[in-house]
Amino acid sequence: MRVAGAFVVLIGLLVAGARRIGPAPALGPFLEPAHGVWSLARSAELPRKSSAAVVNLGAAVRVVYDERAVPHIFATTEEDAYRGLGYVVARDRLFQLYVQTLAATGRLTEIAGARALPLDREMRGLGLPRAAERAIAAAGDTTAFMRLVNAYADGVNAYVRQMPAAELPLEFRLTGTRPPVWSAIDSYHLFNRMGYTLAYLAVENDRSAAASRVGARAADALFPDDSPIQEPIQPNGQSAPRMDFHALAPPGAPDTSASLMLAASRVFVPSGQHARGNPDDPPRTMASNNWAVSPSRSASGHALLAGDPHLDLSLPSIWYEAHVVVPGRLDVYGVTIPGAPAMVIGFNRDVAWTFTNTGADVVDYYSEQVDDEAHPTRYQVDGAWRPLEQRIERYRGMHREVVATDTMYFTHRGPMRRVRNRWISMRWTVLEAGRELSAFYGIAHATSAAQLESIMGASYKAPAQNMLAADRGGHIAMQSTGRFPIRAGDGKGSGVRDGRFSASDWLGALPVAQYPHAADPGQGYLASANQQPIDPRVAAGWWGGNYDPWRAMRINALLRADSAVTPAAMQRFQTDPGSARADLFVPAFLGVARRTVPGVNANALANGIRLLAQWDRKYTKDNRRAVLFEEAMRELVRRTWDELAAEGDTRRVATPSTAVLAELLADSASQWWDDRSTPQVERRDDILAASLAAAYTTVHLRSGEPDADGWRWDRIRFANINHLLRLPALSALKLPVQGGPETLSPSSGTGTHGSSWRMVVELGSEIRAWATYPGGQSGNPISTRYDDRIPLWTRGELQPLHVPRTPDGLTSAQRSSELDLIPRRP
Amino acid sequence: MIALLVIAMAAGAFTFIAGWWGVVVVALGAGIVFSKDDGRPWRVALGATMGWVLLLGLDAMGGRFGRVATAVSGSMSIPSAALLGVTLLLPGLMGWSGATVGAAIGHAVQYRRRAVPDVM
Repeated sequence: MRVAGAFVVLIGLLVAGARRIGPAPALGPFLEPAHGVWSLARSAELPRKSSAAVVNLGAAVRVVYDERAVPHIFATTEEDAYRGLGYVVARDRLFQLYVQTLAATGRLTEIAGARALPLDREMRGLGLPRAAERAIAAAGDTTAFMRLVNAYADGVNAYVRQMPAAELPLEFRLTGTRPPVWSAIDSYHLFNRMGYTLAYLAVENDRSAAASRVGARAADALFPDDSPIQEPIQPNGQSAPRMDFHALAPPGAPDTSASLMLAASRVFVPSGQHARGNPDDPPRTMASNNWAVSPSRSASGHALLAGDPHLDLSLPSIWYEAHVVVPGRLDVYGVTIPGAPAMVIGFNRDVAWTFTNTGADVVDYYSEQVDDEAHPTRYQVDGAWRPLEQRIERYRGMHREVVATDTMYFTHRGPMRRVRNRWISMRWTVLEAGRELSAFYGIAHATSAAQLESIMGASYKAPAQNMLAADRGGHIAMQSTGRFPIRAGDGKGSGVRDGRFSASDWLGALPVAQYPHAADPGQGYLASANQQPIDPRVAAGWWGGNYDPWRAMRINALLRADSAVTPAAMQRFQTDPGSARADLFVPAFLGVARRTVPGVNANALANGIRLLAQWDRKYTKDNRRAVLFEEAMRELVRRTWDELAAEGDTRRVATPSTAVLAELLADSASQWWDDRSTPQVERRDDILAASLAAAYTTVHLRSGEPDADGWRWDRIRFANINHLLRLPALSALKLPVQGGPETLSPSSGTGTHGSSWRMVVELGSEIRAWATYPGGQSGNPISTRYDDRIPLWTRGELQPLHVPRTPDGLTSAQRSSELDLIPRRP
Repeated sequence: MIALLVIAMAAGAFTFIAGWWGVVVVALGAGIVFSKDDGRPWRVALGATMGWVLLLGLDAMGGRFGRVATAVSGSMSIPSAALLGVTLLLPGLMGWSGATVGAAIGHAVQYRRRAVPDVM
């Protein structure tokens, strides 16, 4: 009996130990201490010295990691340098490489099962994997740049092949997966994913949604192309923001004629970057700041540049910091996206560069005529039938089983989907890009800001960006970069076009010479924060920039006020707690709310006014008044735009920007101020007073007395940096940070977006630079390097960067690890 | 005591060489060797556990053992102590069951030897 029991236990252990049970990994290999998860404790940190053999390496590559765990890669050829970069990125960020590729190619079901199917369908339905295949096929395999992309893949695979079992990242163990072979196309997938994140912004979606509630005329007023507050990127010769305020067209009858485009957008991107409008939706924070200062306004007499892209915060970070040196040919420092053989933001010995998102309209939809509504094989253009490209997409599950199969259709414009009983195709610049990696490779060699612009202008298509550069010659320059389509008719992409006619197609792309551009402006600085690039009074055309102007106003104000800017000031500006938005709205609350309003609690209003008047309009961590203002703004938005909510629903179909709300403040009797839920007709002052009183009541109830800690800003708003798999144990959550909605370091909503790479560069005879990002160089959650930069980041501090010309340029105290890559013949 | 140490060393070494089921090999072997004592299953279980404790000790020398425990257990939504407990229970159970089964195999082999007549 005992033996039988033991036999059963033994067999049970062998089976249970070797197989995954539900989401739990196979316990045997997972728990055993020699190679299993516990062994990660041995490999958490990089060894002081190590070496590895790499196939196809031409000559030895030396990698010296500094005390911030940044690899400085010294090679004799660029191909070897990129092999080295691939190797060190894989060593530090292997799971991130893997999961990003799965996400970009619509294969998340392979680690998450059928629940990831909607996300995968979106990626494939947009045609992103197909676009990468076409781009790499067009690139060929023999160009100098493609050799570098392949060399990078060599480096990644060299690490994977010789990775000790103990170094297999935790996430692979948890998901029961293994790192696959890395291919050059994976780098292209990654860039397409970046395009998806940054270039699928269609202001017309909000406009169409609003039209369905209040009519097209009102919707045009609520979601204008031109910002009512002009502080453009390309200087317009003014020394202050210009308020182009007009009376807003009143709410009208619903107009659903534009709803087909909104429906199309929801079919193509169901995850809903366009589906804002919830009363508690955060302001858009997927934005960025950059600015540059001419020698004439810098204390040192050298050009200065600051970059600060605001993106999804994740652990590990989206960025990986590295320095690549090939003597006489290449010496570039910056951040790369793991998987991309390129420094996306950074500097070399002569020039520094950074980007903000332009937010251009680069997506259009076409209603197609097909031969068979149920099973189309052809579509009609100018009376002639053209064959549809079909592509079968199979989604595989965690055990390689097929969990779903889709048939995708493509016209010459792009993917075609069924929308409200019609076939709609989409054209999108991201699907026609493909030379971006080549452009980044090129700018790493640039010797001046002008050359950098020229390289990007020639090759870069998507996502459209505002590129800022400063060089050692003392020049600063900004240029929008990307592809901006020329459209027939009104030139706008604001409706579904008739796909039966080739005249509906894009007519080409605007010439680079017309792009928003500025170089060495008289004002001595350039700044962009996703605002409208060109003042419409200066030049016609819309280039993007439907973001609120508040960050742009703030940085321009700071730069105007400082005629001797230092790198320290640049760093301080990046987390400046001031708010142009508060500067405009607080006086509005205080100025018009000093009276008795029917239906408003007078005591609450008086308290609200008293406390708001005490506010210094700064979002510091210990500030106890910012919370009241934010609650008042939330109330103001809710009460003002009630017309945009459906009957009986508090959810708005879209929410106008706060710049438009500021515009509305100038019209005290506008119909928009009326609260439809009350019998009387409200005006501006009534709504402002009611909003502030309600805010005080809410905050008092929720957080106690006004001087209690419950009112502290850092008790209300946090940064939340989620792990890639959203595992709380591997995430950094509820991090107190300085900044609020629309400050230069914005903190709003879920706190999952924010400053992803803060960099300041001084371009003197020797480059000096400072930077940090929220996370750490290692993707290994066990490593001290996984999140070691987060405390610095939350304090708004940057670290000085080492930029050695040779391996010996780092002292032993500045070195944390060394790696020698040596050639191995295949 | 010496037998216990030998089992512990063997369990550690076989785990290092062959992986987690190396413990089963050692336990079956020990069960056969100690079949006259019914495989001494509890002693083998203890030895196997000690073998893994030894390896865990080597892991702990990296200095990040606690972080592994919190990160892994947190990812699996279980207490750290439970993760460590299961880790130690696994070789113990494999040791006990393997030694018991090994002893039975040993008995069977000896029985067959005794049952076969000496033709010489």
